[in-house]
Amino acid sequence: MKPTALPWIAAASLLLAVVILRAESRPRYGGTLRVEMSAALSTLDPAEIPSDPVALEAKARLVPAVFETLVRLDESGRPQPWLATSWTHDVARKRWVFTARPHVRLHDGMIWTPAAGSLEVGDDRPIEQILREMARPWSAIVVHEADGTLIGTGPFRVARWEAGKAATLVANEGHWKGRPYLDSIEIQMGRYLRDQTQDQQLGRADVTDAPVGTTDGASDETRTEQTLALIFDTPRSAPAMREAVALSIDKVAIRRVLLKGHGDISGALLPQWMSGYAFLFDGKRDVARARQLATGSAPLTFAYDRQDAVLRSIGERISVNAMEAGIIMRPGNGVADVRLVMIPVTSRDELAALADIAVVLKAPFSFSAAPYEAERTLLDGFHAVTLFHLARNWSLAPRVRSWPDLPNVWIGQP
Amino acid sequence: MSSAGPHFVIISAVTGRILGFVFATLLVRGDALDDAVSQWGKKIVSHLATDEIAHVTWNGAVTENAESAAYAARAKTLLARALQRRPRNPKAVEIRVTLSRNLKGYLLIAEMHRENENIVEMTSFARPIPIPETATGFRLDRRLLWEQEVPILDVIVMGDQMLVLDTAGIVRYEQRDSNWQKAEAVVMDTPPVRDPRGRLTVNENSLTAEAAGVTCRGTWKLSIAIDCQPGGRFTAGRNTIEESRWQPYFTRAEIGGDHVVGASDGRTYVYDAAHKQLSVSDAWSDLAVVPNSCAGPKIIAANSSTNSLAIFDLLNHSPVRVSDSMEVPGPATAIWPTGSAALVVVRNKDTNRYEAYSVAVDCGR
Repeated sequence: MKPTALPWIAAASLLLAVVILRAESRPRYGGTLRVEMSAALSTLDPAEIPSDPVALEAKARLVPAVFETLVRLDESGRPQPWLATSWTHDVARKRWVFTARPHVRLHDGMIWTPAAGSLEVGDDRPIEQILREMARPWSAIVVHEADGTLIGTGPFRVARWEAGKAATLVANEGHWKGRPYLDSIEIQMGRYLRDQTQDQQLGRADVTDAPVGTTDGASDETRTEQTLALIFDTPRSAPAMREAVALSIDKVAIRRVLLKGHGDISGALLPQWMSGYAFLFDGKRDVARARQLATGSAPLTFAYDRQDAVLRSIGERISVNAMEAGIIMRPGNGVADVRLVMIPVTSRDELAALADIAVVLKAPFSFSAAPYEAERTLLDGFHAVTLFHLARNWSLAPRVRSWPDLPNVWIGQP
Repeated sequence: MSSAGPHFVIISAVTGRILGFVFATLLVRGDALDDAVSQWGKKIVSHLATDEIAHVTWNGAVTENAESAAYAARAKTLLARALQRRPRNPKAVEIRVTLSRNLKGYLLIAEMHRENENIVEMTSFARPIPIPETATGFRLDRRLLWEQEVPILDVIVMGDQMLVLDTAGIVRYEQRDSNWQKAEAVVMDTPPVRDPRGRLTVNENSLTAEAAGVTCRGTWKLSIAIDCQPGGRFTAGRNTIEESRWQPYFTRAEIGGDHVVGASDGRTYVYDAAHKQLSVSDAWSDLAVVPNSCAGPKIIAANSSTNSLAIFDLLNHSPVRVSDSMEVPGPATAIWPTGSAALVVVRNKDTNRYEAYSVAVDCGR
């Protein structure tokens, strides 16, 4: 690991530790939360799902604060009523009828009333599948105003939006669950990690991205996870070569040395605690087999985030491992043959999470498959090679409480 | 691996309780497990030729606790039954089976390796909601009054009548045949608030219900009749109490001439009678002062970071814990003084239901 990563990790660990050790008290209303992030979002329109994993993770977190869905998933990934209070078959049993929650106001103050007071969905697939699709943030209720602005029903409304740069979300005083604790959230987007770290240390930011692998996160019920993986984007790499790269990587050494023992080694897209079947995807190293598969292969261009010292070190180590198997992976600019990316696990439901991963992989996806089958299909052909499951880390100012649950975040005593 | 049911050996009272719970759980979930294994067994058999029999190896790595070990034992028996066949000159096919867990419940996974192909068949069944252990041996004595899904704000029990104030309104229950039966419900149109609070006050036949931004007054005997008006003790949308000479607070109680204030900044302050600040602490999320026949009034306070209650006293105007902590099954969402005890509402983290307890100070005599 490069020495530059150590102060960041130390600072992040300290801040996280402070937050975890504090005794909680009754939440307090008011205050502005200052958030900085690497992601640069062009729009908050739920209909546009970013394929860039960094933007996808940020958008999946921000959209539910502004736009709401008919149902939501609870901590165990089970659908619960949200803007819809109930659902039932119509008389002919050909459609599902969702009853709209009463007294829900849009951000412009108008009552949200779907036509006929309910919403209907064709009964062409199992209700579990319908609910799972509805719970995705991309299925949120959005009203398009004549001037092009988008309004929702969420606990925050957008007061300012500078595409890719900054945004201000302010409390929706009339939210049906009560106004959020915060008065507003100031967001700066597209910030370099080193600038975020500096702003955090100078007290100019409350929440910033933290380098990967600095903690192991919380319990299964509250943790958010991401999957470090290689994605092969261009057709220059044959399946045998992709498999050779997968077999060449010394995950044990990377975890022990570069990740300081954090994270879980895996060959699966979803972590074991979430799916229960991750152990079926074997990701063991076999350099001899990798050499056989890689015979005569052309060099690959390889892209990874050089700002993050940990990711950079892992990228460099993967290149060295690949070289041992006879594969040349050169750092590339622009469109590379293979990318080292952190794929977010955006949902606690296996299929919903895999659907978003499919967007990142630019792969087709069907909600009708069982989770294991869907995941196996995404991993077939080695277009994605999973390495580790890691906790999603932020650096938090000591005064921040209940992050990352935005509607319930509040500012406490530092 | 132990087998379930009557083959359990009771080693100690604790083990017995755990195993009893597991056995009860298995009874409750037996049908779901039986159905899941039956269907799963058929899927596995479909991969076997007529002259093949399954040779099953169980991977015990995931059966790390009594519950999962009991499920594995039951599933083992059921699977053996489902895979039973007697062909002539049978050929054994190796099948590796794992009982795994995920967020939603348990998975039973069978792996077969055949002609360069890995065949995986799995089935799932839901995890039961754990039954919280009953706490004993504390100096705090708690008694469950009521539980429900809708957030409880306050509860008053008067003989065979019980009034429950929740986020939807007031419900009156009557005790019949040792059970509380719903007698009537009155809806209160209260402004929504993220951290709801409310208080019921009953005096003879008169009733006052206070929630954030609204106060309802009326009568309750025979049937509830109330008239609600905006305003009142709890600030709309913010839930605090605003009183002259005090900063907005969540709760305030007097003990030994000092005022203990749970302030809106999340801290607990102690003031003297002249409003001079004497101490400040971060330890509590809510509190109530209750009288005590043996040792004077005491503070019952909740610590949400540990989901526990404890008794406190003021020593030199600073809170000092004078009892062991009593664990509760989730964060306390309300604590109100009620006569000689405190009403404590807890959101049970396992069931997601709200539970109202009467908590009293036990002098230990």
